[in-house]
Amino acid sequence: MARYGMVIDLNTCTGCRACQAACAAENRTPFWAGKFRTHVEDRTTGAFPVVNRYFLPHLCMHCENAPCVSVCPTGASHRTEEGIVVVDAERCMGCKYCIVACPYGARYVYESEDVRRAQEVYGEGPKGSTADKCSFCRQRVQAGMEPACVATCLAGARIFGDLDDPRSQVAKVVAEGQAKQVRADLGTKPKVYYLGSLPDKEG
Amino acid sequence: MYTQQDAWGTLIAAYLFLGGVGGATAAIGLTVDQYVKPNRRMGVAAGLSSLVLLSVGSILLLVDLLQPLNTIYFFGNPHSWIFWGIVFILGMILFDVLYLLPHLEGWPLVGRLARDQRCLQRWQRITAAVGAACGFAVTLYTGFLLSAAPGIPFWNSPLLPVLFTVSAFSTGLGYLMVMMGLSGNVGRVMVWPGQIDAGTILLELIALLAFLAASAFGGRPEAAHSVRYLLGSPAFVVGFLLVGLILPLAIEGYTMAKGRRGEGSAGMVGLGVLSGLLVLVGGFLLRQYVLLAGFYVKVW
Amino acid sequence: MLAKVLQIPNVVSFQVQNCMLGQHFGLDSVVGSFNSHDDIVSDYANAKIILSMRANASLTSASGRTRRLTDGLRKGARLIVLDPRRSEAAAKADTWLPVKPGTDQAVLLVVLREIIQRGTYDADFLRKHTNAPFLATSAPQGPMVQLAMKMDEKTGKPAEFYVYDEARKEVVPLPCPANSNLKDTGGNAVAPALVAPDGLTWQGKPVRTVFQFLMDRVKACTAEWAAAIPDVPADQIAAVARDFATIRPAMVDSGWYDVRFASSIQTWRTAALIQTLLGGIDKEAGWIYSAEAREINTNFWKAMRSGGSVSMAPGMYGAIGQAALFDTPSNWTHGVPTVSKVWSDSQWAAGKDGVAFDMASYAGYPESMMGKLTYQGKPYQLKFVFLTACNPVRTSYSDQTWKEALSSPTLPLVVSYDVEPQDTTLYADVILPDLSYMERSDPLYDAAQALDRALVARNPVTPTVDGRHMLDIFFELASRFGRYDQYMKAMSDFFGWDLAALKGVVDGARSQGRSLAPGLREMMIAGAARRMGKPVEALQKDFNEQGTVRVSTLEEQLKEAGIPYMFPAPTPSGRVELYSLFFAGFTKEHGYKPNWDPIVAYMDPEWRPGMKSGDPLGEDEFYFTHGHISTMSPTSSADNDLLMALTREQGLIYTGVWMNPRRAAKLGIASGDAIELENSVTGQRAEGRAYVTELIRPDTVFIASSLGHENRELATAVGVGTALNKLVPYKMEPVAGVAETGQFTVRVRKLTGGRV
Repeated sequence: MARYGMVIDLNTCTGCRACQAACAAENRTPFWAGKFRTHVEDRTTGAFPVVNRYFLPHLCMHCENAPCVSVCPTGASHRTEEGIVVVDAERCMGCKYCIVACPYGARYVYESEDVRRAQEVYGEGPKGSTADKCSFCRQRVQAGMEPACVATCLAGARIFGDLDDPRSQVAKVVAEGQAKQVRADLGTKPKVYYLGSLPDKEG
Repeated sequence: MYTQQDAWGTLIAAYLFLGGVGGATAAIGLTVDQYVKPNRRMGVAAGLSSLVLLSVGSILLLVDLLQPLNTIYFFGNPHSWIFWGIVFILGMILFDVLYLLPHLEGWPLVGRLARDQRCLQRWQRITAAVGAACGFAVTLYTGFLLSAAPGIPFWNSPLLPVLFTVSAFSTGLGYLMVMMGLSGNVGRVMVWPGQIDAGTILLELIALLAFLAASAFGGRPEAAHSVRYLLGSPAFVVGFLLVGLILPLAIEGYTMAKGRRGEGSAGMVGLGVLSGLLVLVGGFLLRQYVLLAGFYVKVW
Repeated sequence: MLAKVLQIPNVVSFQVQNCMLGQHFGLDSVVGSFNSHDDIVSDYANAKIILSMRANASLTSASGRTRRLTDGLRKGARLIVLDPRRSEAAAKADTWLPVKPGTDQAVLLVVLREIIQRGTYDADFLRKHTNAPFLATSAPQGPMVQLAMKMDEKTGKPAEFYVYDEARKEVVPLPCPANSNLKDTGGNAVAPALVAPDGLTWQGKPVRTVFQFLMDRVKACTAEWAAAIPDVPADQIAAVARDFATIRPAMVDSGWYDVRFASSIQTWRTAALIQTLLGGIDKEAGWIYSAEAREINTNFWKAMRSGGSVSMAPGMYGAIGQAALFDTPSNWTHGVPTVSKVWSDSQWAAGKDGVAFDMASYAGYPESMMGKLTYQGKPYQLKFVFLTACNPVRTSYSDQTWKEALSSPTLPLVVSYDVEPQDTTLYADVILPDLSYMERSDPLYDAAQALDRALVARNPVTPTVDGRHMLDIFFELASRFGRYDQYMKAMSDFFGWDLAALKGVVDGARSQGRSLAPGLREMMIAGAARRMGKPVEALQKDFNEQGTVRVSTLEEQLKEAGIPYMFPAPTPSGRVELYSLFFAGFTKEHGYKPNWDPIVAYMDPEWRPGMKSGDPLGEDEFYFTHGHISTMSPTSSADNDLLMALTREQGLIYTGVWMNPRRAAKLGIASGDAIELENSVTGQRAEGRAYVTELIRPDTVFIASSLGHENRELATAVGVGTALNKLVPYKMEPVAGVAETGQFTVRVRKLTGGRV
């Protein structure tokens, strides 16, 4: 079985937000409420003229030791065989434990107000209120496609693939050792790796 | 710079508070009645109160849930503290009822059931013990629930369950003081609950100090930020620390110093009820503010 | 087409003067393209060092350029960006020079000089395919340089140029137009000299080459000379120049959104000169002509050689032709040329600046709408304005001017044909519903910004509104005006469609009350299938499944039709022009101006009239710059809730007025404060919210240029950001009517309790 992961290339992300738009449209998320499954942080450090600007795409890390999975009482939040952490909206009771448990801020609440609005905007949406987050576009992956954010990124800053397949680009990049996990010390075993320098502190 | 959590708000604070008070009241009341000194009135009052408190708390939780009907799936993941919380709450309610029934023989409707089930009388010490144990477990659960969340460093400390459990017992004692005072159980109100509560508050202060110190100096800046946030909140400093801890401790200390001379007087009873109420208010504020002071770990 | 058929000499559509014409025209004057952002593709993917300015959004938004640029970066290309703020492109740059707005030309001149000094230019290319070796003389007075030419008496166009042949050691004539300088008018081989021998004369006048004149122009442009102008240390400028002059292949980004300064055109001329000296024209790592542009160019020159004709002329030839059509009174049955020509002529006559090249310019329209324009003593009053897919109230100069003009009691009818309610439709008497591009069954068209040749035929989605395709409306108008057959013929002639087939499609659709667009699309696909030698069904299937079909590759095109290697460039001389004959023409008509110096002229930014680059700013005064954000285009994204949600998510970094903390502190301004900007030259005002950031020069403020919509029907867009054109005056520079959207400083003050 595959073990899906991602590599984000910070050297080429230009902060255009096409990934956010593609994800919202593909997964019918409540963008009108400012809720997205992926974010691109725009961070400034330093002082003019020695001032830097970084674009940092955030998304669910699909951790192998995911806190959101261990705290979920109903098992709605679970990891699939291919290593994708998903929320079964039909089992989610909405206790929001997963939201406070996630160190990466990957989750948000799809409120009932959002569900109603989704019917208007998209013509369909989740059946009811639920916790929601990135699913690596599982519906696309199962159809042999890449997640929407990966397929749309013009800068080629998102790479997706099977970490266990030595021919895949993500496996190669991770094997080279240049790509880093974020806060591996938290013990979450995240599967999204980052190339390029992560800024140390905020300006 | 740090992101404050906004998933768990006042409804959850109330649920945690009611779980603490209810669980502790049952643990104390049932244990005293069956294992220390029989006191049917107090046992019934404690048992019924904890049923109501926990039921109200559970309803508040259900209201906060996005999909309350999906609670039928609660058994889905035994790794989750919520699973155990529900188990303990249900267990406490069940054994609390089983314990209460023999005491309620004189009551309409329910009394008939009690009379028919004679075995309950025989087993009352056991049902009390299990019910009390479950109540104690509920108070533990409210702390472990938060401490198991690695996303929020301030909560993610082994000292938080200690603080919450001690605080829960203090609120349970405070509740008993209010209940006994208002019921006219004069003369005894400040003796054992009051004295034990004074001791409990002292323990709580120590636990609080240890918890805040560990958060402030434990090397996790988000937790230190939480401490700054709490100390900068008047409701926490005045409402919880002063009014909810120091003041009831002072009142209890005063009445203890007064000794047997003051016992039974209306003033003493009044002071007992007052300090009980203050402890309850403080207990709620503690949970409300621990939730508010939850700042997510800054990973980026 | 419709305008011509209906004898309407005034066309109002997408307005280049507020978008990219400054950048286009600078490049166009050298390489001959007109619509350069479609005609030229910068090959970022293969360059090793790239110099970029004033093109941030085009390089870092969700666009093809982003793909090409990041491909290049991944291969190790070095990126140098000139920008007053740390834009997205500057954030990705290896070297960021935080230049003052409008001062980029100084840096470019240093680079140009460095290349010349080091001799690292492509001498071969310059000799063969540019007019660098052409002999020229100085005018008796002033900086003007005159090419040595012989004119064709019949056409009034140049017939011969002259170079010094290093083989025969004499001056020889070269034909015009031609793509190469290697054969003289007699067909003999020529070895054109880039530098003429001292004392050379022609017809009794001392002559030197254009290249020598260029060398003179940049001789003094050292890093030390430049440094104080952009306010960047000389050593940083020198390092950039050295690297750019030595690392190969090097490429100047061909740019995009620049109409900001009177000096924009000469700035981009300078950029194009650098690119030409590098020899980076129509080859890998250079400026490559798009497939469509190359095909039009090839067909044109083939026709010229064989005595045939084409309906579409390439680049500047096409543009000049269009301008001439609208400007020439005798082309119209009523004898009245376009408003902008009449307005310009009256300006020149009064000793003021008109617009020398006024194609699709808005110059004079407000005056005509308000009853203030006359032609030959009679009022030239526009009575009916039909606006197609444009929003001048928001995207042109001075919204106030447009609001007054469109509401003028002398203008009885304004029709707006648009996809959404926007700020101009508020002033329309009638609004016709257009279909968005996704709902339109558009005819086949060439993929834009594509190197390989590809055709696009997107399958439309079911329309959500009862809109009408533009062609349906235009044929209906033609019919109602009694010109139906003439319009049919004009369309058939221009696009090369079989008249009978076209008539069948259009008549058939109209008689059944259907749109003609799907039938037209089928007809075009059938035509394409025939030309490609492919069965129609197969081609249709490819379009349905993929949306685009590749017709030929870049390699194939370059082998057969490289510009100017195999066919001339669309310039008057056919060569890449270091000396612009277009610009020389403007001098002839209107006298010398540095704006149209045919070689290159350094123009100081002059943010306020008379202001020099070292002059101090007032305490509350800032230079002004603007640019696009990745989520918003000038108009059509304003009602897109998703894009607006992304914009709001970013908050003030996208929607606010950028200001450096050092100046903000002195003015008592914090992030989020309501502030007012005032154009210090005209007094025009706009409001916004401050975004205090280290990302920008202390002497400059920045706003995103596609916000500030006012039409309340745009529910999510209203109240967000600052409208650029509230600050931009109705004032145009004289070359092409470019809008000068940054040619002023602003004074900033905090609004207390003010509404934003």
